Amino acid sequence: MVTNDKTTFDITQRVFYEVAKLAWNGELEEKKENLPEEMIPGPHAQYRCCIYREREIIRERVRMARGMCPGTKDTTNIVQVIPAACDDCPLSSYTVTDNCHGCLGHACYNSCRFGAISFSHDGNKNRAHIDPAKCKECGMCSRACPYGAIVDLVRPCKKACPVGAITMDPESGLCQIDESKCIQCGHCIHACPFGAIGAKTFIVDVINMIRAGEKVYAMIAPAVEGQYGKDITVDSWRAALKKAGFADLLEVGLGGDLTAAAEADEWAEAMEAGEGKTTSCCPAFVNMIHKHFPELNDKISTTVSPMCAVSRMIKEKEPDAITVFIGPCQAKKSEILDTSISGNADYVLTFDEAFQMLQGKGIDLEPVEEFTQQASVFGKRFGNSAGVAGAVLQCMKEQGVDTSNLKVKVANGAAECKTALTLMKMGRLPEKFMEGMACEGGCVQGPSRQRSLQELTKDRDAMIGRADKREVHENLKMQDAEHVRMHRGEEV
Amino acid sequence: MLNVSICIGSACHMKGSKEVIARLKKLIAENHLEDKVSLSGSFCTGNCQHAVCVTIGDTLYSLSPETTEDFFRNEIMTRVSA
Repeated sequence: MVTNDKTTFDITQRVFYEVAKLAWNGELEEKKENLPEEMIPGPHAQYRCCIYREREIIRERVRMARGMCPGTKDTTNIVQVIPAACDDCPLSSYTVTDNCHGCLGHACYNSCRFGAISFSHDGNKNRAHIDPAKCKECGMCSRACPYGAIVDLVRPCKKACPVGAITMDPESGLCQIDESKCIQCGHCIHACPFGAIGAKTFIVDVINMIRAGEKVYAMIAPAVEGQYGKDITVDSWRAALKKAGFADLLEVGLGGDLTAAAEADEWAEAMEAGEGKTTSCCPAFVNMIHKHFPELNDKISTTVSPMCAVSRMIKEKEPDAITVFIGPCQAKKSEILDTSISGNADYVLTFDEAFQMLQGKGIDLEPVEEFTQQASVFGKRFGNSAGVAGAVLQCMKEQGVDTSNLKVKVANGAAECKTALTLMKMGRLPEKFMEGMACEGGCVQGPSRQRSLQELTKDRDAMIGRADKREVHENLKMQDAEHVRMHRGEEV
Repeated sequence: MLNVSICIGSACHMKGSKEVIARLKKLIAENHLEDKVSLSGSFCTGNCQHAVCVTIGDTLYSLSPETTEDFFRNEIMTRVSA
């Protein structure tokens, strides 16, 4: 998988590893201040202007790995900018490059409806210039130029943000996140080629809970299958996590079954009443509605997410259990900060964070013989775009509901979600029901994905193909999961 | 809206942050303050010696499940009834 941030990603991984290692040994408080010097020994800088800046960035990454904000500020956002790492890339987006031949056609000038383009005599030719104050960033000039001389230099973080939450500090030019708009999708994190955006983690909290002797259960997202190649299965994760001191691991695909069954009842009721509903399992999609389309709040299904469903299932049997979700998602961390949902996961780790947490204790993910199935193939497909809608429709069919007139809009990725929600708000979305997923391709392509969709699909299909063809309700009976309280307002 | 955040980090968890959240939710419901007070969880802010850490704006309060009701009367009720 080719990414924008290979080098900085490796550094962040190393920080997770070092922090986890110290936390497992109970030495984090004592030795955390030594990490920047240990990781950047010097005397020569490797990536940035000097070793002091490199060390400062490590210091900030260590703070975030410990769940804190970089620098001295303290805000509740999960996604945070590391000011020292931001390159303050150019502000103006459309820029004329040296490819400008100073031609006589002036297609750029003629295409601009805002009078932003002028020419100056530069040596022996007339070069085009864009006045940033007049430019509306429509891109017409860039498309019009026959030499492709006008490029869009919009900051990669800004381009990646689906909700316009990335702004610049007017004085320093550094990237800022408008937290009133941010939906915690995490798309900007891997978009920044300087690794200047990261997320807070619960790595240390999870390790502390295990060290304190608490009964800690892991719950792994259905998106995991196929991420680590054909041999690393859910059972591989279970073996490794148990070695690290977890009590057990449950498949959140089972939560997918639970959510689909509850949502099917809700949809059937709504269909009868002539109403519509959206799915509720993608936290970035739910955040998008809360923050950008609040008039649609009551359209969100009140069914809890698969993560919450499995957590409630565990806690109903063992009220003191600590539940930890492991998945591809950053926004899930914001879901557990929502205190209105009781019984939800206590902590959330991304695949990368969980992997390094294990590495910090010297534990690898290894192929294993066992094959355990806790979810139906429908629950397992929750991690793919269209998988949630597919599972809900399957449940309705299992209950004998006629779904032939039920039309579902599958919004794949944040851009499609935004378009569909805009239409829904205006009452012009042809479909009454909607599945929303903020990551294109579904959770399998979340910010902590290990492989691209093309790379993982074959292994994923093969792994899911090993599961038997039990139906959703049949599986809930098999897993003794028929009485989990499945609605947001219910107290657990 | 008065935002009250409660740390859910490991140190605060072990000192009863879930219980503090449950008690605050109950008190808010009993006093019909759902439209005036919002609760949210927060990451560890490094003030673990004060666990359970609860913040209103920039002010940090150190709570335990037993002192939650006093905190509610003295810090939340006084702010929203003003």
